[in-house]
Amino acid sequence: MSKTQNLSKKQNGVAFLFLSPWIVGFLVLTLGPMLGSLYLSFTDYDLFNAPTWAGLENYARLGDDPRYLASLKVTLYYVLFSVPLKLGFALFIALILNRGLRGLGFYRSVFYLPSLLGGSVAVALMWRQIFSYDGIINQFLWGWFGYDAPSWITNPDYALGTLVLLAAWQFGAPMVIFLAGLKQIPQDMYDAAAIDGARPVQQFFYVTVPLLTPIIFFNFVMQTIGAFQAFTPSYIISDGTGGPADSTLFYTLYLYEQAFTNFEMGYASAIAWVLVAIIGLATTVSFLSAKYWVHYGDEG
Amino acid sequence: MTASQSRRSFLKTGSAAIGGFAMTVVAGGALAQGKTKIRFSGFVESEEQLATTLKVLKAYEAKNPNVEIIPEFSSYRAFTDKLATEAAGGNAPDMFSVNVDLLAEYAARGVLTPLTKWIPDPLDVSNYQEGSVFSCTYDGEMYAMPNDAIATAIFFNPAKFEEVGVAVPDQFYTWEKLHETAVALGKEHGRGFWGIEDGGGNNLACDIFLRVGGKALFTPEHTIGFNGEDMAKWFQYWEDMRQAGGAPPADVQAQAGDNSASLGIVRGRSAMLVQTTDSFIGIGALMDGPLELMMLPNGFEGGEMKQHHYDYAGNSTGIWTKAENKDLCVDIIRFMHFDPEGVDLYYTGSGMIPASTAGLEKFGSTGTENEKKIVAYLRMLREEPAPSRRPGVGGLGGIFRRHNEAVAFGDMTPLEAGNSLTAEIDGKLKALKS
Amino acid sequence: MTIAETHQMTSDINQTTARSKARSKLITHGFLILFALVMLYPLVWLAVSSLKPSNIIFSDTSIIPRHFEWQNYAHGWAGVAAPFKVFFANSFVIATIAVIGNVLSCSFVAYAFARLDFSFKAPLFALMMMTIMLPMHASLIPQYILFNHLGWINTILPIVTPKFLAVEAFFVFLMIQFIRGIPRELDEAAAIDGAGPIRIYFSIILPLLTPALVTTAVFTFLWTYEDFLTPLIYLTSIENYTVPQGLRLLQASRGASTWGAMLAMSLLSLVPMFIVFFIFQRKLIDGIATTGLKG
Repeated sequence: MSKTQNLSKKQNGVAFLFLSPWIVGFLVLTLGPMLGSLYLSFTDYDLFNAPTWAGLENYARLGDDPRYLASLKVTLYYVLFSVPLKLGFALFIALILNRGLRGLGFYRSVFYLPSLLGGSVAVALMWRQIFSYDGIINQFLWGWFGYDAPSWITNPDYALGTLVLLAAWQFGAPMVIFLAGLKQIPQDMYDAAAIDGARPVQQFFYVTVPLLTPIIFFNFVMQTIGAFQAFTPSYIISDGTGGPADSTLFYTLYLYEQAFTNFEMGYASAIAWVLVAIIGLATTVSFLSAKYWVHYGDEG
Repeated sequence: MTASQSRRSFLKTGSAAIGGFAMTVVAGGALAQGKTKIRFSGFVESEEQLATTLKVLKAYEAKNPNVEIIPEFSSYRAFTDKLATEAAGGNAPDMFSVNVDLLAEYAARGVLTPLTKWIPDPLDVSNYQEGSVFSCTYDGEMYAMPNDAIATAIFFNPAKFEEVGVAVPDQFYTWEKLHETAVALGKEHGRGFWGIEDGGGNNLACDIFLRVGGKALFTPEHTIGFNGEDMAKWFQYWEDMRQAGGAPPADVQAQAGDNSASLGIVRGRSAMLVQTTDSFIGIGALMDGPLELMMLPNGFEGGEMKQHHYDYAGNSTGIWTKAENKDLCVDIIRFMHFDPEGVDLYYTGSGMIPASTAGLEKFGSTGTENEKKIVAYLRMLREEPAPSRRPGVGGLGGIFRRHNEAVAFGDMTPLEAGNSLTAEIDGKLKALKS
Repeated sequence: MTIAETHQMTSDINQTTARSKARSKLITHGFLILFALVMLYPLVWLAVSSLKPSNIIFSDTSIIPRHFEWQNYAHGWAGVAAPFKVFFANSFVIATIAVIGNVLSCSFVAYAFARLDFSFKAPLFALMMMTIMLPMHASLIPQYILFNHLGWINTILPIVTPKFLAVEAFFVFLMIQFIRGIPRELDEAAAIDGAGPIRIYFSIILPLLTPALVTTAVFTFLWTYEDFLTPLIYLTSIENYTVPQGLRLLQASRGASTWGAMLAMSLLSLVPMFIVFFIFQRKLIDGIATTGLKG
């Protein structure tokens, strides 16, 4: 990220002053636990008795663990579908709301509501009320079409799908960030474009989209990381068991189960660090691609 | 420490954090000087039980002014996560609740203190139901004090039987009879109704099923008591039940989850449910009409009382190995279980059925309608109890449910599921012992 | 709303002309209101259910309440272990402190990454991103051991201290992106006037960063307020519980009478979040209007 700054001389003193909170936080609070967890991934550790060195054993186990592989598949599917859907939704609504409509505050707040509900028990109960065998959707399908539909949330073929839908429905956070980004685009840019005779559509593609790319990029990277670490959604339909039939066994849920139900903290730590590698790879690729499509205002 | 004192210290630390010199601030409780502090942790089984537990602890504090008991309660899942983290971090609560499977895990890993030293004085368990003592015992030593007595049963909604004229089975009946009854109920009620909730994922029901065949989930030596073929029979039984319409298809069943609010019996789409008696009051309260209890099939009809049911401790209280004041913890347990005043405060209105025979008699006559039904049920079992449930491994319920679901959704045959489950539990047992 | 209609909407938006502006606005509002209803449904369900007696909450699925069980609210508010207002106060204190911490520390750090040039910049940035890639369950126990060692258990320090130390890379990265959207000519003009990085940060960057600061404040508040795992592990005694922990006390595994109260308090627990969100999001609009961003 420093490519545009190569010409200026280094400002180490003042820079590290600004960085100091993070450096202290990293060294004191973050680094230790991270290294601890990395160390544990090479050990056999049941939480209550001292860890014993196990070398690469935990990592070697991963390839033969069908439930681990299932959780990886579930999570990749979730990332692949929920991220674009959620971001698409968020951007679409943000663009509509950014047109200077009356009642913007009201709409924005209402659209954020589902995100406020998070993964609470209330959402879990309500989600069942809608998608279960005797839920609203099926009452409708049976009452109007005589179609005896399955239970959408607890059929392995559809369960993950309804969670993708849930993620899309909770699009509030990226929407708010998109709106903040749209607000930051200077009106002058539109005025200048209008003087040059750009129509609204052209303004959208030549002003809005390019200037919003840093924010689109941010939301993309963060939502992807968040989706890889998805944990709470599995409480919505399976009370955190990953069911039905492991169809919503998220990666971090399996990690959690190994650590806190089976007391296999060493193995769980190995699972965690493989995830760090996967997310790291995905993030690196995103950052490399950013060169080609993200435009920063400070690049002139 | 009073609540207001504690709040002050809590906020004090908060303002210190704003000031940015947070490092020097000590833990919030340090203000209460000169008192011995005992952290008492547990999970909320019911609001009533939480209320009476807090009450009895307060009463103990009133009698012992230099003791301060800090109650730390949460939902079951939250409690287990927190306990594991705290124990791993060397800062577990002095005393805490466990259930049978947690007990085995925590006893085997050295987190719980054996209570042997304090038995029978002051903890005299001779008056306690054998099953409840047994379920608190691991490797020959008692590791926790049973708080309540529970047993596996079938809950049924009599109205759903009457509506369609299907008879409730007699006291002693076979697994085949249960099958017929459930299928008949499903057929008579029509679309969207099933006789019984799928019990294939219920390890407790399976234990009784195995005992009909002369086996059990676990042996007294804490080894596995069955093989893959036994388990295949169990999964096959429920597969047949689903196929015949006696139990809901897999996706409908999966809706029930862990949540009593989502159970078919509560929602009016089934008539029977296999459950432990400590859920009876809670589930009963979510239903409009009366709810009743009966035994699971014992594998024979009529005749003498030779059933395979037993009662055991639903939850129990244990002491952390590294607790500083173990004698004090024992004294708190004594107060809750043996001091007449403590017993009265702890059990009255708690919905718990005491594990001691005397307690059962005393509270059996004073409870609510549904409490009386549980007491009557437990009394009947105690006429000729089977050997009690033995401690197994943690996460048993999850393992059973997962395998039953695999069969129900067609991902495994009953035999595959049976073998896989057997291997998994065996592996966990061996890991525990190594 | 079908996909076809949605497409129709989009093209409506794109082809807005002065003549059809009013019509287009009407359609937009119609669409938004319809959409809002879908979004609101869960809340209506929650509100209605929280007023039903326990024995019919789950068997009677009707959305129209027949009688009102206000008792659920009184019951939940009074609580068994501690009154609910205690949990609200705790959550509020913690979330407010967290907001201050995150807004200050993250904007500092973001400024350095976005505008200043220093040694090891790329590796430090990568390291910061890495800290959010490790699932928190994996570092929970080492972290607990650390905080226990510091004597911070049952205080709010493990929750709020990290916020003052810019541990949440999410917000640092967010602000970096926003700062980089601010044209560099502004800094350069100030630099010519003799301003150093510190003055540029306070007089140029901070005012223009308002949208990102407000966003950070809102999300920090909401996410700290509703966080469950960290308070669960570090706040042990009941008087120190936050709202989500208070709700867990109503979540009995075998409970008889807590469902109504639990739903009632779930709904009530959303109210402060909604108010904070509503107020702050106004701020978001006002903030922009007054700073009058010039490119």
